[in-house]
Amino acid sequence: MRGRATQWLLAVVACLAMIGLHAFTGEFPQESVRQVQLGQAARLYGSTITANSWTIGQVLYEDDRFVGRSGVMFLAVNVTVATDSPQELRSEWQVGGTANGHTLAARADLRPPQPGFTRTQDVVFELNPDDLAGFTLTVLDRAPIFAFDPQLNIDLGITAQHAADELERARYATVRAASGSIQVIR
Amino acid sequence: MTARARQWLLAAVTFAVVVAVTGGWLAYLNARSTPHHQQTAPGAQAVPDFDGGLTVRLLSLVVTPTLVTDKEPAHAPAGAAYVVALVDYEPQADGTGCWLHLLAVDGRRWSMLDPLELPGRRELPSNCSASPGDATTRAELIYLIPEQATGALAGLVSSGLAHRSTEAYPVLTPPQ
Amino acid sequence: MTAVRTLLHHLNQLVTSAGLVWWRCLPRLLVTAMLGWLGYRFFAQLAGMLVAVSAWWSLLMLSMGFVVRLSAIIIGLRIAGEELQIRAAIPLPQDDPRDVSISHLLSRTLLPFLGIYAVFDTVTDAANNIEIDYYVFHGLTFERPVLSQLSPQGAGVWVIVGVIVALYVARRLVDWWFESSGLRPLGLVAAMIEGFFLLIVILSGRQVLVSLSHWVDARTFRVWLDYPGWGLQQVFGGLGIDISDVLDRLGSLWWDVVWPGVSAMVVEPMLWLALASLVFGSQVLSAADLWRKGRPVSVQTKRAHLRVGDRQRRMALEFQEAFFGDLNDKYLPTFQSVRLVLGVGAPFFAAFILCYGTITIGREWLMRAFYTGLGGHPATFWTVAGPPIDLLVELITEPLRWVLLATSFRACIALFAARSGQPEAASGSMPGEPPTVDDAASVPVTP
Repeated sequence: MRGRATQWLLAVVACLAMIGLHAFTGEFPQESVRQVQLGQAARLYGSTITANSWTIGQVLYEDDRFVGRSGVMFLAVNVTVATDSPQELRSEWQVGGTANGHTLAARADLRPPQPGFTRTQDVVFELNPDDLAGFTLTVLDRAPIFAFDPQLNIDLGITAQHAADELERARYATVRAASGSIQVIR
Repeated sequence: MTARARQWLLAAVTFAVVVAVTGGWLAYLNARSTPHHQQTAPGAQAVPDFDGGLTVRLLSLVVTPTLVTDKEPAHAPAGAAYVVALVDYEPQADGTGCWLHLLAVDGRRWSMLDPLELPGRRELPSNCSASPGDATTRAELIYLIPEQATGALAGLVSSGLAHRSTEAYPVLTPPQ
Repeated sequence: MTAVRTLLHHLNQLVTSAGLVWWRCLPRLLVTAMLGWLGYRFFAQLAGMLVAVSAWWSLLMLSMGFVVRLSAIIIGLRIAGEELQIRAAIPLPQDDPRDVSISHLLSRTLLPFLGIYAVFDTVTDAANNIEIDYYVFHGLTFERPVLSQLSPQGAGVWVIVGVIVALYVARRLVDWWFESSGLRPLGLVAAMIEGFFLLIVILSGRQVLVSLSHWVDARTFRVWLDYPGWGLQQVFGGLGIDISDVLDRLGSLWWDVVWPGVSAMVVEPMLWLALASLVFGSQVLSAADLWRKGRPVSVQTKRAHLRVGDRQRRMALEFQEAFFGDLNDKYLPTFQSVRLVLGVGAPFFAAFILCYGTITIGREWLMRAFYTGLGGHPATFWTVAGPPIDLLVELITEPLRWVLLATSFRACIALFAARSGQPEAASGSMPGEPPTVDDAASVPVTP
């Protein structure tokens, strides 16, 4: 009897091992993710995107127009997007952020410029001060029908100490975001 | 030949057949999805859109660094230029417009400028919005392109890429 | 730890004999897998192009694609089974129709096969892929989706019911014609009609369930179902525990992690093994056959055991064949097959789960490796690159899966025979094992 019991116990352990392996495998991913650092240029189809810098504050001005005062905090990430290749024109990229395991939406999507042009603009997020450390910007180019698209995860390199220092310094500052103007790629 | 070698031969033949059939079909699908272009005669009329579009003729393609409007003129950023495409079209009753891209020889395309981005308004309308029987059936499509590309422009082409067929998209060529 | 040693012994046996059979049958299995893949792709593509004409036509094409895929699986299993000499080890009567015609096997196994695919959502995925194929082929237009045409609001309840009843009657007629004339192609036609019938039942049944749940949600009595939850919250709130949060987490853990894992890693292999045993023949004879041989039989359903006198036997038999033929042909054998597999014993069960799970997970990782290797690209690229990857992965994993199923079934038979003390009908050893002494003195079992 004991022999049978240990046999079935072993069978249950084997089942649990396979279930665990299945859970670890998870679902088939819909995007191919590449990790990029702040200041590093990365290509997404025909365009190159570089995250230059970031600022935080509580009051937001967009193009010198007062938008509002946040109950938490604004984060503006300055990015440069340059389109140089003859690829299909994309009107919008989906921009988001991830911090502490949850995703955040930007106030507006990125518009890549037309071929031959580059634009430097600010992408603004409204987020909790706790979410500043480890914030990662995600940029995804996705059509209505998609299978496995490329996605860039741009790590802003904000350590916990850096976040704490910056919060102390500029928590209630004013953020001036610009939607940028078109310039020709030199 | 041994039975096993025969089996392997059959497997190889089947693989070749499957690859050929699949490859042929996928090549056909790819040809349907990838747009290719064909230039019309200079200044000729054509229907750029496949699904019931307007008949359009390109009258002229002018490159200019400044655009005159009823308010202040618009200046292109350094290194860029405006391209003004004057088109003549036959208006349709159902209000179909013309959404055309400017195509360069190397395959780059630019879409029409939003007229709200200009400081003022110009004389001709910037889209094909006339009704049948109107006096003016001309429109001015404005594009902003880098100066380096102004020497190698192919013409105007349809912006809709949802159409699937192996036919070529007509490219409206400017007259000489 | 004898339990571990038995498990390892079974594992070793399964892996080595499956490997040997795989190598020996490889060219034939590859041909079968390739033709099955091509046939399914052909019909699925046709289904994608016919959506514009009518949803029924495209579903007919899809059902034919499933029939082709199932035929490939059956042929692959039989090839592996011949190599393992399974047929010789099972005491079935010599003229069992399972031996002879693929179409007979097809009609027996279509229901459990499509049932497995329905449970694991493969059918709805295939129907969604029809839409995607349609958009890829015709460009992104906003036609109505395929599945909505099958919902009661979409096509009308009576249209769907009418189609289902008409298909059932058609299949019965073709079956009767096949049995009286014996024309081979009719069996195939019957199988295709049955495939179409089952597909419609599955897809429209799903829609009916969805609309039923919407209807329940809109009723007032739906609120009654929430009362126990509120009551629990009051009780536990007094103790300071947020019971709804705990239940939510448990619920999401169960539905998102545990249940998909259990169904994919434990339930699915068992169902496939049951299907394989249907293909090879389990020791279940049709209840009607037993009855015709003069022995009263008890059908193992919830109905009471039936004992009917001679005179009414013939009428009852005909009635049973007409309407409960399915019960005998499909439900009973499937049920018995599952019992067969579960009754073999824990170490074999564990070894089988581990091997099948390795193939399933390996297939997933192989697909991901291909996709990640190619990187991210727009959907138009993947419509061209996807099928070759699918073909390669299928050529690598499907023959392995068929061979594993055949080998496991063979091992089941051997274990059952050993346990009941009955030496098997013919050479009972698996490839790779030395022949046992008992084989010389084997006694054939009379049915």
